[in-house]
Amino acid sequence: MNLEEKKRAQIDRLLRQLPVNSEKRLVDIPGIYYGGGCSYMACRGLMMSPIEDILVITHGPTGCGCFSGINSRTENSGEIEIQYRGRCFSTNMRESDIIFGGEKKLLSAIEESVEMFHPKAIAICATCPVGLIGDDIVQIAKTAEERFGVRVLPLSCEGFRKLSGGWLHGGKMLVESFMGETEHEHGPYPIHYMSESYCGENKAVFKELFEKIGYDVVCSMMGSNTFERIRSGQQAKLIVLDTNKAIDEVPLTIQRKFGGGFFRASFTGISNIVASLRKMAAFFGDEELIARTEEVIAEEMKKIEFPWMAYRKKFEMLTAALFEDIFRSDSFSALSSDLGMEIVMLNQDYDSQDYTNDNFTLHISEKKYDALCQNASAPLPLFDKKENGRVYFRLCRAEAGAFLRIIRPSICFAGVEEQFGYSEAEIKSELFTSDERGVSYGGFSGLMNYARDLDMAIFMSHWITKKPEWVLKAEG
Amino acid sequence: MDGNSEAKNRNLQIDALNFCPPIGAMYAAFGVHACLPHSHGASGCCRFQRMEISKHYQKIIRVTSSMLQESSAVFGGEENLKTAVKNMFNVYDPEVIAVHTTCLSETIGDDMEGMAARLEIPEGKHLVWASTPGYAGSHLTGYSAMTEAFIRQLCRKTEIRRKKLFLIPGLLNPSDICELARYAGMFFDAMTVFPDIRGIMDFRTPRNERTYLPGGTPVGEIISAAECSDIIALGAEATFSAADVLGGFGPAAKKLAIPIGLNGTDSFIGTLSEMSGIPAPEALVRERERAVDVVMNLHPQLFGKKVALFCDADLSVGLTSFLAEIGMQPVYVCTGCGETGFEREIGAIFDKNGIDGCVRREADRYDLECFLKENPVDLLVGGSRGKILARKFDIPLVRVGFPITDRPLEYLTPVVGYQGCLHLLRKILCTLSEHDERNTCAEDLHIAESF
Repeated sequence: MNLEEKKRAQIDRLLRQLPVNSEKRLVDIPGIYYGGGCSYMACRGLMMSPIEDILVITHGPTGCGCFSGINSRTENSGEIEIQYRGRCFSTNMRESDIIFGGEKKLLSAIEESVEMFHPKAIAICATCPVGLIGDDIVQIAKTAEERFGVRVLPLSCEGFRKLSGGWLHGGKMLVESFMGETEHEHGPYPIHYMSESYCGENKAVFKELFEKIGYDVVCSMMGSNTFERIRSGQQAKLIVLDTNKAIDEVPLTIQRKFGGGFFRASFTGISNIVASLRKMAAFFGDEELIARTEEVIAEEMKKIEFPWMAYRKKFEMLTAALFEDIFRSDSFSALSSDLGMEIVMLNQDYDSQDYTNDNFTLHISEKKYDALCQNASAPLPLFDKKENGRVYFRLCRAEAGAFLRIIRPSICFAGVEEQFGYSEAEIKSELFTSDERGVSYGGFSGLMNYARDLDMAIFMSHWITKKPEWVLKAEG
Repeated sequence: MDGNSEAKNRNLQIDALNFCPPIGAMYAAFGVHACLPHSHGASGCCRFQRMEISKHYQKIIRVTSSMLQESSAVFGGEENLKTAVKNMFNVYDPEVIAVHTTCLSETIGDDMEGMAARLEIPEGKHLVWASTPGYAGSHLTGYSAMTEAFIRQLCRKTEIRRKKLFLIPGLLNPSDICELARYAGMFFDAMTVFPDIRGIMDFRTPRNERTYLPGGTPVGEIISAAECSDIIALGAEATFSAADVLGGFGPAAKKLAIPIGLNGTDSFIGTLSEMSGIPAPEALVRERERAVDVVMNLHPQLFGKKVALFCDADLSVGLTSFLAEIGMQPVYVCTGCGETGFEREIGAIFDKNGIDGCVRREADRYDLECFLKENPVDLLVGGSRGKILARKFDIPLVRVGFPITDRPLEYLTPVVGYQGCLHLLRKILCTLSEHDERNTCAEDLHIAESF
């Protein structure tokens, strides 16, 4: 074994993927804080907004369209010049439209948008009242297609429908209505990278990575995309789904209709990226591609090796506690684990539809468990099972809180402090402890960005944890 | 001036200027101590709205929802509301729950009054509800509905009157309310500000979900509001209906525009002095003097400059008056969904100051864009979303109003009172200068231009 190989083996030993819970979802209980949105939000925001040349008309009162406009993530890929980018359209239903129906208004709104902006395709997103008053948007879409010569996609994504219904409905409608219409030239390894992180700065990172290896991203639902790319999306031989959302039904629909491969992957955290890239190369099975993949991995690793090792040394002693959510907990656990941190994962039974204090699961690594057994000041709770190097506990809320006090995590990500009242963690940066802030750390360089932010958070957190004498006195 | 009449008949709304009523109701409910706003609708409404408020204040805020789903759309939302209220009192322990309705619950015809009466409310706790369908009005309508609901449902009739002011400030930032309360405190020893978001919106939300920030109007003061001798309501669409209801209990009510600029503040202070029977203190006279001096000193840099204004209706009235009195020309004043009184009030300011301007009460940002294409202006005044137009037409933008989502801590600068007058002047002048200087080469930059 030469030096290069030895080094690679050494690095490979540092890579480890954490078990990911695919069951997780948001539990919606009336009157309990809820991080999710609604069906309209999922369909409009996640599925439709990123498509840069489909004009989205929100059929409903002014609010929904206006709120969702701000989160629109469309960006100019430079492929086409679009007059309606960065705008939000709505039919602005008023009281009289609710009483007498909004079909006429919708039809003329479509006519106006065609006259003013000449889009190739229009999507109509329905809001709550539309489904209730019975506006037939499917019929309106048909009429508009015939009359104005534009493709119109009616989406019944009323807010009261199931949340996951929103993106599934949007995705399936896109596939069923548009996909398979055209064909374009593409590279030898065409893929469909389905991920909401394929936009903005992250997109450039991913794009470079894929291009280096030789993949051609022909379509990217939820990510930066165009109408034309969706129409020719069937050309992708492999669908790589990188999201925390339970949206598998969309790639499965594509697969049923057009064939090709599909699996979930993750491009956040080095261990995940390396595993994902290897899995992709193995799918195509091409020797050259596999070799190229290893080459690129080694190349990227080399770039970050020194800072990575330096950060690992710094963060190895830390323990992070995470409450599983569908937003960012998986990313944070993967990144933290890559930095050598110990991960404490918490979640609550996803079947329960009531607010309870029971059925929490907490899991830690066996290594951490053994260390705790030797040093803990208080007796540990009995574990439920050991699996894949992790030790699982079934606890109630109070027990989980007490256990956290024994584990003493140094950082608690969003949800932990609120759920278990544990507030002694020493790193308290809002950047990580709030579930509202969006930060993405995709790609190899993403880990370095995360490490830098964490470093910053540790440095700044002393303002909260170290108080001057007079403050302590005043607080009693 | 022609205000692009073609656009009025458009069915397609392009870039709305206003939000829907529930967000206003939520904003008002946050002004009550230990109050938890609750959205009786689908799960998304409250998420959209709290995110908008979150971004304005750069902090987490928490709001609950009834999570109505398809079954509720058929059978009504009563079961969900019942569970929600029970859960909220159990888990988060608020003193008051402020329920506002949404498009969904209003369209399926949930009878809120009956439902509210059947709810089980723990001893010593309260529940207030307001009807705020998203398709009727703007966020000011919702703010108005919620403040009115609080007075109507909690306030007790009484014959007792104490020398006390009841101030209804409208949809403003905490810093504005601080200024208003400071002035009012010079005339009244006792005062209730409602809704009072001071100490709530400008402080971090406690992590512990059962802890509430010390700010906000205490519920007890709303219950005993009828004991106040005087009411002042500021703004029109957001506050006058609450003032009317409370005025019906006996206190004397005065309704004014939001006191932005010298004229507005003069009449606010005049009213305070008149109601309290106390002459204005010397310090206030000096404060006014300074504001007047600054205006006289700096107005040559502003005189005759044209402004397009896009804020909510109440703020627009105050701002138009301010801009006119410092010599600027607010030539286009628009709002997303204003009442008819809006056009009348702005028209009166135009007449008084001889401004050939255009006022639109049901505009969208595309109307404004069409206007700007034909009629170049020197300055835009409005919220964050106007930055797109600012860039498109290379016009400087002064950010005022709610929400400002792209510049942190903007909510710390007041716009009301004499202080607000100075802050606004500074903001406008700095923005104009920076815009000018961006187009000047380094060697030609003036180091001391303003004096």
